[in-house]
Amino acid sequence: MNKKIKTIQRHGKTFKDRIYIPAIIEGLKTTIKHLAHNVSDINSVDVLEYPEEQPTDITERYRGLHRLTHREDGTISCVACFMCATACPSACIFIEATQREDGVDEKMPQKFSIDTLECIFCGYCVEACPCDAIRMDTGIFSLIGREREDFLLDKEKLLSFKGAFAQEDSIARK
Amino acid sequence: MSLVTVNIDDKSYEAKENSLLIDLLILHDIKVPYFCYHESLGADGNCRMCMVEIEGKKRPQIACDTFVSDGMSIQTASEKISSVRKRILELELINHPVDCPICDQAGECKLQDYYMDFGLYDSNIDMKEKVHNKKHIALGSSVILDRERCVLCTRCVRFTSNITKSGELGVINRGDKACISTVPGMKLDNPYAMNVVDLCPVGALTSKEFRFAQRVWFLKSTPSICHGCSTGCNIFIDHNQEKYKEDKIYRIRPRKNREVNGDFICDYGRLSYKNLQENRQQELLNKSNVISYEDALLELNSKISGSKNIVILVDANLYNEDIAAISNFSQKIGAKLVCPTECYFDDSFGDDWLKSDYKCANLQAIKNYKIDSLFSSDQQIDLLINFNHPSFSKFSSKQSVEFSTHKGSSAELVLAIPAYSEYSGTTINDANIEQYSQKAITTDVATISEYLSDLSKVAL
Amino acid sequence: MSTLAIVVTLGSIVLAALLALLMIPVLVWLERRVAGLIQDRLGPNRTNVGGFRLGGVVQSFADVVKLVFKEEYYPSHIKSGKLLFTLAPTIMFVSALLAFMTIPFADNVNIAGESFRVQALPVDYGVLWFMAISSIGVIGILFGGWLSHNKYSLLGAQRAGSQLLGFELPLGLSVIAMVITYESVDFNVMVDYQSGVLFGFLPAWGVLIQPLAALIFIITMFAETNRAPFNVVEGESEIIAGHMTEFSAMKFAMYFMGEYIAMNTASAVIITMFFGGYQLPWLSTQDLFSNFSSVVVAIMVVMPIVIFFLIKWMKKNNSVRATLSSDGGRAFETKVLTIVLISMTALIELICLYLFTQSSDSLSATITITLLQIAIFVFKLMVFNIFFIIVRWTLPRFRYDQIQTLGWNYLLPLSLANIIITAIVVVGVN
Repeated sequence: MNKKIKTIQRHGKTFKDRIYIPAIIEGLKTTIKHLAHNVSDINSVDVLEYPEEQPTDITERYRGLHRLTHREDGTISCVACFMCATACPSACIFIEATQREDGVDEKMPQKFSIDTLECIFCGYCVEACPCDAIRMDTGIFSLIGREREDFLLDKEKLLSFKGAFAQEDSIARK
Repeated sequence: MSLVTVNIDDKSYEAKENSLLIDLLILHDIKVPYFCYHESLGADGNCRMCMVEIEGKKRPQIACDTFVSDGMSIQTASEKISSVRKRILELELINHPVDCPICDQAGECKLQDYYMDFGLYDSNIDMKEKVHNKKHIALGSSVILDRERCVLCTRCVRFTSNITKSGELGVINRGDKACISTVPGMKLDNPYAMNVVDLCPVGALTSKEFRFAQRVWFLKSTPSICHGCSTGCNIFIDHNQEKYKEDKIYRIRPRKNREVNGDFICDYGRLSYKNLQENRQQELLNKSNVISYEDALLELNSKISGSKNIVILVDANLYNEDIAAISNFSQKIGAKLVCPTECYFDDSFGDDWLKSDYKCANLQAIKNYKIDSLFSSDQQIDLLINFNHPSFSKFSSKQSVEFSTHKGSSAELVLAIPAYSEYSGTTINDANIEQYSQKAITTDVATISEYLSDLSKVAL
Repeated sequence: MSTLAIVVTLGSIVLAALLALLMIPVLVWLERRVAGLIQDRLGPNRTNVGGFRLGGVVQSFADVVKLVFKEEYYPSHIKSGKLLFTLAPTIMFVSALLAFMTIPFADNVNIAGESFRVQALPVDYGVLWFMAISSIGVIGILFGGWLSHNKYSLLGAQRAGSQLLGFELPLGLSVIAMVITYESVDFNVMVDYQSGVLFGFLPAWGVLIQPLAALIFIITMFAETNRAPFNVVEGESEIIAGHMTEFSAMKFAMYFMGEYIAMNTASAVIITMFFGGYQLPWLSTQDLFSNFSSVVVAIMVVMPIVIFFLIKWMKKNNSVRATLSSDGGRAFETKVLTIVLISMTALIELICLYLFTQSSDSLSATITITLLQIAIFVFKLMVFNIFFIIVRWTLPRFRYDQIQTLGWNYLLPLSLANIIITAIVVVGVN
């Protein structure tokens, strides 16, 4: 029977490791280097001074606040199919459907509200929507309010947000 | 009836001689798509979806029109059959609108199910080239027709002509212009009209009451028994409790029971869920003041112990368990148990199929417990305890207590009880079959049995 | 006691109190700022009073105000121990503060023929006082942790106790080695000894005479003050903050401040015993007195140069990047501080011109040299405090068993060996 014996080298047993002082000196060198560099030129520190500086990396993919898109004629493109409400892991989308009377489509939401305090901004609702009706491309990353009710966005509010990038209107419901 | 052996997908099954092959497939849960076949309506053979390969036959045969014979060998999942199904499904879907986000049938639509199970092909038709037709036509009796979605399985036509024999619906025009319509001048108007909504495998016929109310996959189906009349049709109560809202019933569907109601229910029972949720008594009242549970029991106890001539009215809609508890209770306190039944009788309601003359669920139990249906007395009633009977106002008494489900009671002490959808129990229908209703909606209102058992603890 | 003695002693007490207590906000600020700059981020730099942020020191004062007004509460489980519960952090704070009181800030002043110690507690057994009082601090931790009625606090407190025990012995033994070398327990004599020369060209600092004792002493001082990498006491119980968990507002503030005062005291003792205390290398106080005018000239020359580079650095660094929408008043602050610094320099130049005309026996000479020595002391103190802070943010925490092994298995025999070697060398040299 050939047994392969593999010897693992343990670290930390040499004299240099065990007295630990050389390692401390190495560490101090790194630390003091950083300190000296940053103290000599404090503006080289890579820190975003919010709110004087605003973030520059908000791209089209960034999942900001939600918005409901419009059709080309300006009406709502959402047909209240409940895909977003079903897909939402936090169950924070509340929809009530109703008959649509203007002949553009059959169904529309009477109430559409998102509780942004429960929302985890995962973007599943955007992926689930078959009509490109809900999007998270507003680029708004900071929502402030004084009361809890300020964070429950209703249909009018969601329709009023503008997209921050190209493609303002729904591409699936013209 | 002799049994034959049939070989399906290399497994052998026993079947009754000369029964339909499709019945056998359905019985053993072998997945076969079909639109036009229905157990109560029979086969029509116009959808061609239930094709299976039978050994010895050149072409695939439809299972709904094939009778089993001994030694038959069937293949339901060969490559040929899956290709056949794909092609037929494609033909069905050629002009079908992409309405799934809007359509109420999403989640229980046969086209969706069969496409996911047997289809999954790429469509060759552009949306603009599809044939369009009229949508959301009101046919009457809260049924809405959408002609674009119809697959012309003619289940609804056969229902109105063969089952209800009222003949309102038919197929008009030809070719790809063929569609369902009511006979000119007629509206869909019979007491079982809304069953076509359940029959329709796609979203062509939908209920106006349920239109856009809720998505089907959110609903929980609880098996229960309809309390509309003494037939006791088996139903599913579809309900859902949304986040931060109350538990609510959205619709009632029929449940298959070959002995009692087959596959259908009447419209009166189907729409009876509205009554279960409107105008409900939620609080316990003493002379119109809200009181607590413990105070109500004390008040009831003092009323009972201070009265000599006590009469108890029992509703014929209560469950067997409730009636048993009330019967024991009446014996304990020495009260007279009465259930006048003429208020339930309506011979214009009853017909020769599912609707009966008595509009109460548990009349048989009243008879079994030998509760008097007439009451006459020359003595003044000291205390009248009413367990939700509708004829309360016909009696006069010194004091009155009512266990009520709905608002508007004129009694002094009003105690709220749950409706039949909110607790479980059994009822006996007019064919003497005992049936179980399961609790569908959650409430925190105490049941009659709980009241009576807590009362006995207080009385001690 | 003569009025002069009272004046000098009072002055020393005030100086000691200022140095210890005023150093706390500065240390807190330094800790946070240096930690940030080591980690390539900025520390607190926004709190300002009318645009004056002074690098962020104002943040520490804001913290003090917050801690004073915070809600004071006691865990409901402690019923009879409330007094001791409130007293526990005070014990630690007071003992750390008292231990600082015997450190000399300058050499003995000789005014009108009398010699006064520039120590808050003008005693001549400074080392013994320090050793005794600094060990009392752990009682505060033990009381606090035990009375909290909390398993994790108790664990943290016990760790503190056993850590102190384990490192007290090497500490004492290395101090004994130093005492043998310096032949005195008086801090002043120790500092005086270090003004000599070693091997002809090196300053006779303690760290060069007794490197092993210095190393052991520094390591044990890290452990005594519960500073990283020996902060199992407060860090290990992680978010639960060890013995300080159940303390709110002012009581927590006492613990917090006590820790920083202990660190300050540790730095002070280290520089007194090993790095020449309040003296410049190679120069004793006598040398300074005899070359008084050279000292004044040196101050006149060095001061403007230092201030010039300071102003230049400040102009560059007290600004913001161009992409920011506003600089929060920094330009104004830089202007004001520049004016302040330049006027301060001008004042000192004038004073130096006056001192130039004085002889080295006058009172002003004594005062100048004393002030110079205090300044040197404070500078060395700040350097060592920053060293403490840098080590905290460099080294990972030691595990508890590693700490005990270090204390008992390695430092104790080493310090014993050190004593023996010292004794042999001392006897041999003499």
